[in-house]
Amino acid sequence: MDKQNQKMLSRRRFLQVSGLATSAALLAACPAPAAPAADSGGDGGAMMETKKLEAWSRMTDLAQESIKEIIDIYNEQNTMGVEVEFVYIAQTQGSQADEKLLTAVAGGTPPALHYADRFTVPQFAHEGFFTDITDFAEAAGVTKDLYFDFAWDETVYKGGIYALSFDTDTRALWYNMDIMAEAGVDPESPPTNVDELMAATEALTIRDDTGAITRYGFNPIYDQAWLYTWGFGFGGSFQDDDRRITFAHPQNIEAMQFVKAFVDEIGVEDIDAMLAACAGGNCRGENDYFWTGQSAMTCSGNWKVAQHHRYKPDTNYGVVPMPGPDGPAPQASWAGGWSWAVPFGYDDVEAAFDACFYLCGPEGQLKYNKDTFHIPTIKTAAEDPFFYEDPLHAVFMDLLPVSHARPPIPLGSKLWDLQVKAFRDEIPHGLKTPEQALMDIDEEINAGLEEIGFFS
Amino acid sequence: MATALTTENLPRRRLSQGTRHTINGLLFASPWIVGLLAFWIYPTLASAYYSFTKYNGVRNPQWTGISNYVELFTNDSEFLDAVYNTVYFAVVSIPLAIIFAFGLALMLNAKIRAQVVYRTIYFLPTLVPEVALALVWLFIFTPHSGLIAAPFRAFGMRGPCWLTCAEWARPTLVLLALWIIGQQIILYLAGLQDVPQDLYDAADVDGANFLSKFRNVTVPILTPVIFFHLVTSVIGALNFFAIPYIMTGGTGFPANSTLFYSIYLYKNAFHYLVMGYASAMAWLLFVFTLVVTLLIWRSARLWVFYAGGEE
Amino acid sequence: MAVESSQLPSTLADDQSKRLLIKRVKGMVRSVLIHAGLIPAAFVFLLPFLWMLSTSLKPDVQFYSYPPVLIPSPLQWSNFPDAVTYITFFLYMRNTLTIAVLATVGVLISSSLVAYSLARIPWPGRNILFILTLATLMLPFQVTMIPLFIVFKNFGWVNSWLPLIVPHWFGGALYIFLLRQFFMTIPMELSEAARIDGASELKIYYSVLLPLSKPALATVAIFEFIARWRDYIGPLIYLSDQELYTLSLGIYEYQSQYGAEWGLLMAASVMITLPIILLFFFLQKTFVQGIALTGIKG
Repeated sequence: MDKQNQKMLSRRRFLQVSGLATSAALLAACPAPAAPAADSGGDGGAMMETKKLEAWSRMTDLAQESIKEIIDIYNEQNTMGVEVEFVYIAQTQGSQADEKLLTAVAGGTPPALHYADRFTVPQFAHEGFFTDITDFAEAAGVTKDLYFDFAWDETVYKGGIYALSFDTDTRALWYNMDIMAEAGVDPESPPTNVDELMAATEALTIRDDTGAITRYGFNPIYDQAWLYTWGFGFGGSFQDDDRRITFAHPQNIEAMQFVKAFVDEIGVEDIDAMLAACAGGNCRGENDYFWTGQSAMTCSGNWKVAQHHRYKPDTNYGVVPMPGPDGPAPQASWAGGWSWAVPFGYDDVEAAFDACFYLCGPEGQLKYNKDTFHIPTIKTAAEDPFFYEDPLHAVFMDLLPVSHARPPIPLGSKLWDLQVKAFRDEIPHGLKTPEQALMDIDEEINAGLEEIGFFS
Repeated sequence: MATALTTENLPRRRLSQGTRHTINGLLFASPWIVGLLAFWIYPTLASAYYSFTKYNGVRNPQWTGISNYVELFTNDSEFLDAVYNTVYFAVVSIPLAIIFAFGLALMLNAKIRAQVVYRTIYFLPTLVPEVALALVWLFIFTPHSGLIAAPFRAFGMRGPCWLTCAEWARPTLVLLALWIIGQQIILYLAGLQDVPQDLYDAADVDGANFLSKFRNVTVPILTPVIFFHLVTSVIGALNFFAIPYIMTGGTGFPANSTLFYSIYLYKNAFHYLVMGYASAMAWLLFVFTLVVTLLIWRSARLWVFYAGGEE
Repeated sequence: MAVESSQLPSTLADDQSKRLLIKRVKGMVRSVLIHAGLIPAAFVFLLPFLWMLSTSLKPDVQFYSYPPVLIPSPLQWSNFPDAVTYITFFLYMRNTLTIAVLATVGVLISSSLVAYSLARIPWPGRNILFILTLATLMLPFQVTMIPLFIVFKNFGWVNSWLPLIVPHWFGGALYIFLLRQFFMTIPMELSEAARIDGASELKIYYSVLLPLSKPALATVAIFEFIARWRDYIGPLIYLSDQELYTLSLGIYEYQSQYGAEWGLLMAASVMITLPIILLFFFLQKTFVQGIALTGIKG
């Protein structure tokens, strides 16, 4: 019944729109500048009929279904008399930019809710793309201690709340136990420190007669092994108490020196070959080197648990905290995740916030994160035994208290690009020394922050 | 103009022929003139204005004079890298594209078997969705395991590093761009249909060989198409975006060798939210492209042959 | 070749047919040479599509397995029915088709009229308009996207197909330029003769210029249809109702944050490509027709 309804609607819509288009086009053919104005009335009127709240999200598949179901529940029980509608927004291949949101906000036609990568929230808040929802949040009883610190910090900018966090993830070392057993590495004692990691990598690597790697033991600059991962793992930090960026922290430099040595040990050509093959998200899902068995170990997140059940249920995998210089380094984990925000210019902030708080409140979060095998950012929700059922997932849950956030600054995109460049290009290729590369990041970002008055 | 004057012998009705031409010219062009006024003038002027401001797309622009332009030239090494890469790409790829497209079109125009099949095949890469195209290219050009590495492996060699090292990345992108010249081939094919057979017949009677027929009949007749291809490929090359973007995610790796002008512009506009700065980049590009195009247009009088005659 | 031609004189006495035969042999050699050049190139150009087709039929999608597998076994045909149910594929296809057809018809009519004005009517200011036309191609869309969005918002056209169709009825700069180039190659005497006969410009445009420009018009039709078929940024920016979405947006639904339905994505890509291949096949006839007609001289 639902399907049929949809079909009828689409047919009507189709006729309506194509009719408009044809008439406008015919008018256009015999030039009539007045034609556009004539159409605008009818079209605008049709959109005003019902009070609908659009929620824009790039999520597909399971995540999209789950969000739609949460919205359905909200639509039935909300007291605001509104109907939230999920709108799927395509995400440009390999891009972090939200062209559609930016254009809509600039054009004054924003949606009620936007699904935002949390680390970009301070930037969008600073630039005026999101609405300050502090008053509504406080009235609804939203407090800092409801959420994990790393998640909360990313949704707050200059004391104002600009988004509510929705989910999170943590990072650890995944290893393929079957490959380890076959290669003579004890699958029951995975690497605990970086020396053991290097040794295991060597033992698990297979090369062909040209010396090129056909199976990677581990790639230290791939997947979720980022500058942040190694820096935190080596005891470094990326922001000081004055909120200045500190990439050139001594421990970070040490971490990068280790990474450079590790890369050289494996051979930068082979490292590059893997990165090139996987550019633009081409190694996602089934095509992941880890699932294809072309990589024996990888630093990755808890989302791999669901993929494990789906793609390789019969292969044995293990997860341990990332190895650090002197033993396990659970603090290497940093937490990302998503959030919902009310874009600037949306008029009914109260209604939008109400929906936002349902999605990101205990009920919404619990359903979403159970459906998708992500991790809630609400502390009490994360205590649900569901998240500890799978022993591999339990490892990631235990990392929550020690996980970090990336520095929440309004130049988040620039900083991300700069650190990727340093980590995957300048340092491994020896274009800059680790120290130089990290100092250059600090210099550029801090100068930028100074210029926009971030420290004042 | 000259052609018009020679036949201006019988002015009909009261209007002079010149006036009638002006009225007709404007009438025929009127859809476009209206379109320019409705859809082009405002966005163009707006972006010109933004280029002199600090503007992020949503806040009111703040006038900053020429500081965006000054910043580009004095304090932005990525901008200079992007300019170098883009000019390199334009200079290397345009002549190659013209030669390849023209050459393939000539072969495809010959009366041979399976002509339609060939034409379709050559056109295919331009039809494949970019997501799929990116995958297949990465599959081919991945060092060591890619398809193109197979012959090297057979000889126990590792082969070039393609997109993963600065020396090879730019030439590799030129190579990839040659893959999608299907539209240009079609263009030359359409142009070749315009070569009147009697010109070839006349050349045959004179005993002209293939090469001289090519030089004295085919090329001159096709110069209007070459002119079109040249101008549009200058514009296209200076706006080179999709291929490097899908191949590298717009990172510019390795060593900024794949950072192109419009990629850097796009990042400024939509990643870093400095729309004013991006607008300044856009206007520099606009002026540069316009100058190059005008030069080509001026030179066209010397080498482009219009059977219909020109002013 | 050398052997053949040396044997010819002894068997054929007639000078005329000897020359004919040499010509035929020459022609055969020429066509062999052309095929020798075209076949390897054809393989290279076929590769992306072949590989896409091959991947769409793989049961277990592993792009980077070595050695590469081109013909999967068994063939997983189910990716195709799965791909069309995973997203509302046929709705998107119908939407895309409607937009592409309406825009293509519009651009053909308007651009050919404008190009006629620029190429065939000597009026002052046409060169300025021509340069202006080229100039519209030069400003990167990234910086005009937002102001243009505001224009359409003021028309009330956001979240409809109008911004994706109507502008094309006012002409496309690229196609005006292209058609101008082709129109200028047609001898001006044809127009002059028609004018003396008392034909109106519209009549000359319709019954002289258009029939002689079929290859160029077909080229414009193909280019515009493909451009609209593949347009991503336009639908992304202007449409916010999934009922109105196009295939270029839908194809991203096969990918998620960490995963992707590669087999379905490739099957969908094949199905998205097929209609344009068919269109291209169709229009090939027009290219051939052009040969017969353009030989005529005024």
